[in-house]
Amino acid sequence: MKTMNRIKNNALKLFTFSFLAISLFSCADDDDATPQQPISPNDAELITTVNLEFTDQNQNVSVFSFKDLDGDGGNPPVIDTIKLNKNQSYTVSAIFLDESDPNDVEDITVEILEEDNEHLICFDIENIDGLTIRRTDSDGTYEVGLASMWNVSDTAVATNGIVRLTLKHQPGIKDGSCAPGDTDVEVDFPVIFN
Amino acid sequence: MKSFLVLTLSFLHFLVINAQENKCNIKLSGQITDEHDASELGLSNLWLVEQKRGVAADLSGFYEFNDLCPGTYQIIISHIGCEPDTVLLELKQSMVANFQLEHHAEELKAIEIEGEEAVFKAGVEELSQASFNENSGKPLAEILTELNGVNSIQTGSNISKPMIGGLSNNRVKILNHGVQHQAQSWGDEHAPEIDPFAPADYSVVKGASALKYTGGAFGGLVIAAPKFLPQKVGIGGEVNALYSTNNHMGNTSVMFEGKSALIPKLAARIQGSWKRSGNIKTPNYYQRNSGVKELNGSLDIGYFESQWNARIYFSQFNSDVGIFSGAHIGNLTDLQNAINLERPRPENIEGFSYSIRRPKQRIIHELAMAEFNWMDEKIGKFNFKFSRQMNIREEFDKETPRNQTFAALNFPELSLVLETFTANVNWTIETSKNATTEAGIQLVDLRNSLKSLRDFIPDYTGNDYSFYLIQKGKLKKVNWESGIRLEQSLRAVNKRINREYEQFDLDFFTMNANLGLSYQFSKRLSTAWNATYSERAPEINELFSEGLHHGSASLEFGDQSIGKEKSFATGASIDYKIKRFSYKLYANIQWIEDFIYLEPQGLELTIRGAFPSFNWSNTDALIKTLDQTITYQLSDKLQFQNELSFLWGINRSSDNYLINMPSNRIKSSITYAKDWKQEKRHLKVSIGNQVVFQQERFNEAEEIAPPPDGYQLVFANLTYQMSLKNKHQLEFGLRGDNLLNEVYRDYLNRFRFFTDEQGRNITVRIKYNF
Repeated sequence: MKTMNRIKNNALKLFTFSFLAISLFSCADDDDATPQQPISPNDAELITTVNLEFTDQNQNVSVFSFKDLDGDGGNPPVIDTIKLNKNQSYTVSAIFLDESDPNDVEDITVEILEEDNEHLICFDIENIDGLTIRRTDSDGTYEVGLASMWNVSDTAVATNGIVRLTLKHQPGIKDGSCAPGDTDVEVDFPVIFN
Repeated sequence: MKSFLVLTLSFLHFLVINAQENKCNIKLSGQITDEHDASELGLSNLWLVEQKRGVAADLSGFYEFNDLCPGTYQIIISHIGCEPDTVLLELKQSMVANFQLEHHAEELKAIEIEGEEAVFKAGVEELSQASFNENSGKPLAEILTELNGVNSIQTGSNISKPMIGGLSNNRVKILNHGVQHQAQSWGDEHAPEIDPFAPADYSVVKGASALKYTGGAFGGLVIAAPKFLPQKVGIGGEVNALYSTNNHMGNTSVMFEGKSALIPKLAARIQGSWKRSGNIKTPNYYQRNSGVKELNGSLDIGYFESQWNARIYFSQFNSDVGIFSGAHIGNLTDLQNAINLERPRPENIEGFSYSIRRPKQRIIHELAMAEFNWMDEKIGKFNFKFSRQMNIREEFDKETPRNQTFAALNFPELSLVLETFTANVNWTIETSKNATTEAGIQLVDLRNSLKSLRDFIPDYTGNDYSFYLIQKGKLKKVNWESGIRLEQSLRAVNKRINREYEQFDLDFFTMNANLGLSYQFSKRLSTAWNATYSERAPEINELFSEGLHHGSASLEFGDQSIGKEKSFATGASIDYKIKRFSYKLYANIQWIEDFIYLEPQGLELTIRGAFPSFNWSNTDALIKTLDQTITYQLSDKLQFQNELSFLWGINRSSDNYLINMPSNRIKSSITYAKDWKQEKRHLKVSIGNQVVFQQERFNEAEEIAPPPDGYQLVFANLTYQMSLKNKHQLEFGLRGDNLLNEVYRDYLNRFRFFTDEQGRNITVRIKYNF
């Protein structure tokens, strides 16, 4: 059946082509449904992973992450709960990765850093008392948020507490606030205190 | 034809010799012209029945018979594309006799279009040339909304798709110059890639009854039928120039047509149009990046013999459409923020500008069509048609990639190329004096190639094989038409799943059948009725789409297990005219089983936050429409018109309403028309308003935000036509839309979440025919 169709297709095309000699566009056809190699690299910069790397005052490092390796839909993302100690300060690095191809992990953070005057990372704290987050880096004019300082007081309490990390893309419209621009990343990390 | 001429000449020769012997020396001469526009009908044939003798007129329509004897003659006059005429003439002495022939339109109109003038049919609406002119400059779908019951589903003010009976996209097909328009028609934001200025007569067939052209057009069919090619030797043409104040749109179209005396059977037309518009102004702000750039052209060549004709049509459409930057959002939070804003954020409002930046669409559509008609009195008419279409769609996101090297390339994020070939054969024969049978086959070969990594829909190839049989005729006072269409559709799909390509083969068989009757009770009252059963196979997006819609912040997923949808529809028209009053009503009721729609699935968590997620699936639907037009002639010059269009769309499975259905609307207008017959001048002034009610029939669970309030728009139009020397014509037009600068949003516009609609817009236009 398949072969028959193909023969018919070719006959039809040949027939039609012989009648239509004035087309401006022509395209190189191969006659089965093999995909053409996509040429646009744009979507290669899918973000699948957000890592928050915490370093406490004793130089202990812990990493909490949000991973959605198969992109939108499919399997649900895997989200770590951020566990912090009371009465402690952390320097935090935000790292964005494309891990959709395990053999070729791309570090999107580098690109954000290159265009740091177009990006802003915002942290919103919900249902938590005793936690403050302060961005510590700058693009020269405004903060960026790839580096931040998290202070946990000794009376910190979280009941279903979350920290929402938002990466905003604000080309030409960055004003230090989170309002302008499109949202590239928005993830909620649950937070508990030890 | 050639042999006929040779024959004629030899007869002449014979008679010349005879005449000398009989001393008959009467001369009959004259000119053959067109009854309607008095154009010369070159190469007409004249035949003296009794003498079995004929001549052909020259290129200007002049003929001459010499050496005739006194007596009574029966003369048959014929011309390509005209109804032959028989005249009785008594000859006593030499005389001049001029004859006028009436056009027989069908034969010249190389591509026949359903909706014959004579037969009243349910739900067939033709767009008048006047309506077209008044609304020129607008997108095609907006022009078509002049027809009552036709709406448009919009993405901003520039992207507009026809919606008929509440249905659009895959359920409304477009027939352009006899070829089904093939593009990525599944998307709301994919407007028909057709230049409204490409010479055509537009009409709409409501419902799926035009089975000759397509099946599965549950909503209806938009027809862009080719215009006649010129019949006169010489060159004529048309120039249109427009300017709109709101977005500083400039739009021009130039057309030349004609035929040469050297090859009088060959006629040609060439046309080109250009359009440029900038940011659209709502009453309170400009929408940033909402300009349009278009460059289009078409070529039409026909060769007409009495028994056969051939025609080639080629058109190209190139368009760059800016997408309002405030309507491109990252996630649901952005969308909610936009909905909560009274006006867009400052960065999305700027002054006037023509520049088109990201986000934007770039579209190229090309159609090449060749057809051949052959007619024989005994075995009927044959039409062979071949076409190739190429549709290139590139969609650019708001921002270039973060990676500088990729950003410099400025590639589109979504790039699709659809190439379609079709071949048709159609056979028409008069089976009896009062009945015609038409049968045909249609082959379609299509290939969609993805040129970007974003694969909202996959690569696929497809073949459609169709057969149809249509019969129509007249039984006493009842006109009837019945048709059946069978279609086999094959699709081979290559979908990327986890970086691997997987192939899917799909096969659908669909059947469409139609019965229509019309009956004229009297000169005043006509009625028509129509019943259609149709089936539509799921389209590629309904089966395989996967990804995010930036405009609506929703995820959409196709489902390969969904089946075809089936519709049973019945519609009726009544047309009643009495002196100054005329009344037209069209009512339609449509049951759709397994209606393919986007079923909400709740929220899906992604790295950009949670998105509402939708799956294509089947449900049962019921759509009822009512379109009514009342016209009342207040005086010789003054006319009042009222149109109303009501629609109910119900999801029978969930016992709720269907999403994105047009709300009820009423339009009224008063027109003043004055003719100066002697000076051949014509003036028409109209003013009217359109009331669009708030959509109250909606399903809360499926809406992102409640439908916007209803609104009322005032419009006015002025047209002044004058005839110049040598049949040249000049038309001056002035049109005002949204004259009161009303601030409003429309439920059928996907940008209703982001921006107000276009404010007051005045369009000035000049049309010159020569």
